[in-house]
Amino acid sequence: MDEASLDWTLFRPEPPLCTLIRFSDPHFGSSFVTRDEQWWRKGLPHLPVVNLLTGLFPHSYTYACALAAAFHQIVQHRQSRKVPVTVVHSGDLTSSGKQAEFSTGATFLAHGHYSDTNRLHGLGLDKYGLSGSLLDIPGNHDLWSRGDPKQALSFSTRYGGPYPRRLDTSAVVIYGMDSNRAPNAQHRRANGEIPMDQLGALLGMMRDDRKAGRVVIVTLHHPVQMTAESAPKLAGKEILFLKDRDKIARSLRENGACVVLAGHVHQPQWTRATPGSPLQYVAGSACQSGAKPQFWILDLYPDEVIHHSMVYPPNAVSFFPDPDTQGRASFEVSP
Amino acid sequence: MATPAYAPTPQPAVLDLYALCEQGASVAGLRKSAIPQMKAALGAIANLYCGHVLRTNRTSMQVATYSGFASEYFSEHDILSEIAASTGIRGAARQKQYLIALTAGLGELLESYPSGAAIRGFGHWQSVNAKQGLFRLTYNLPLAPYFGPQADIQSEADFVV
Repeated sequence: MDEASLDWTLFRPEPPLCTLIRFSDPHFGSSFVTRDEQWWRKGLPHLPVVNLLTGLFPHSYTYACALAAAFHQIVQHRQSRKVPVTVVHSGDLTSSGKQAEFSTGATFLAHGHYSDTNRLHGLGLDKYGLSGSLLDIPGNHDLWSRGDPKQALSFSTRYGGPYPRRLDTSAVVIYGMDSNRAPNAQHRRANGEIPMDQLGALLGMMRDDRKAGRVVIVTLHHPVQMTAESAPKLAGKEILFLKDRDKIARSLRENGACVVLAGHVHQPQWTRATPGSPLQYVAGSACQSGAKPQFWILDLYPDEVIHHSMVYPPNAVSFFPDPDTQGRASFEVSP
Repeated sequence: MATPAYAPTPQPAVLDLYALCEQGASVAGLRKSAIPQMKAALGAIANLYCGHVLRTNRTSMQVATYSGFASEYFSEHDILSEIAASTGIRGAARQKQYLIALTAGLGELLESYPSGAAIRGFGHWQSVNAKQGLFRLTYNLPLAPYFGPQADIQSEADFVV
């Protein structure tokens, strides 16, 4: 495709069931504006070791403001065309799970931060009436400070169970999982795990949706499908993975999940549905410093997704649709 | 895969942001390591204009700038505040140095484009008197061209309102 477009009529005449704006891994720091001129903001993003260290960086003020600007343009367009908008955030709201970081992230999502010039920067979900259309799940970074009771309270307030979470819109059902239940040794390596009882509960809930022929979407922090080339590795060994992901992917596929949404690896990608896995979209980091910011716009139809990858190109100061990634992918709603 | 029936309006020329920052840094006496910071600052200033256009329910605006990026809507103090917020630079003198660098870089690159050129995501810029930091900015919402013909009709309606 030569040029990108966010206009669904180029693909289908009818409007989508809904537009999913889905982002992941913003890694908000404790202050929305950049308070200090940290050393790593200068040279480190250009060094080869950066891949091992990017997980430590907080959000970028500029990227976060650009994310909000793009979000407003998309929501205003879709809402003016009467297309419902749903927002899915798939984990790592915070850089290290501290109370102040949760506050920064929550304020950005719901309302916005006033800058020193008294201008508001944030998604403003409240303003658009989308607070009830947000599905928000935890990532491994949100648990980093769980050893401190004061900090852990912020986590449990926002991300306390039970799981799976369920967001039921008129068009689709979206389930949110907590895939950060690995034992400590694995958690420190950023590997994930879903307890059997949580997975069992999800499959049970999905059964009714499947009977009703509804479009079911599952979101979790860790991807359930990674290609050998794209899987992050350290010293030749895969890292940041979900335990038993092949089995989980197959279970989801066989029990009626149409689409899986994930994040965590900071490498945007999508993979078609196979007999062993549902269609999957992995988001990059939405606005982390040193990252290549990315999020997805997914126009959802009863039988397919028209997807747009929104990127912040090196020679630009705003998010734009990536023409190379725009496309469509079909799925089956199980009878 | 369907092929779009139209394409976003092509820009006559798009400025190279790295070159802009590099040349500006050289003029203002900043090190090359400041280039990522300069780009972050430029992005933050662009977001300021984006927010203004969104608040006014329009898709574009034209404005004369002074001190590079200040205008009737945003004072030089506002611009310096955005530089501080995006880079963490606290001292007013260093903030100003970044503003001078960005203004000089923009002016130098626009010398090659008498009819102006675009900063991708920050509209179309034309030099009026670059040495005095005077430019003409035509700002368009970055995503407006991607929403298709319906979006254009909507934006005209917005202007009438």
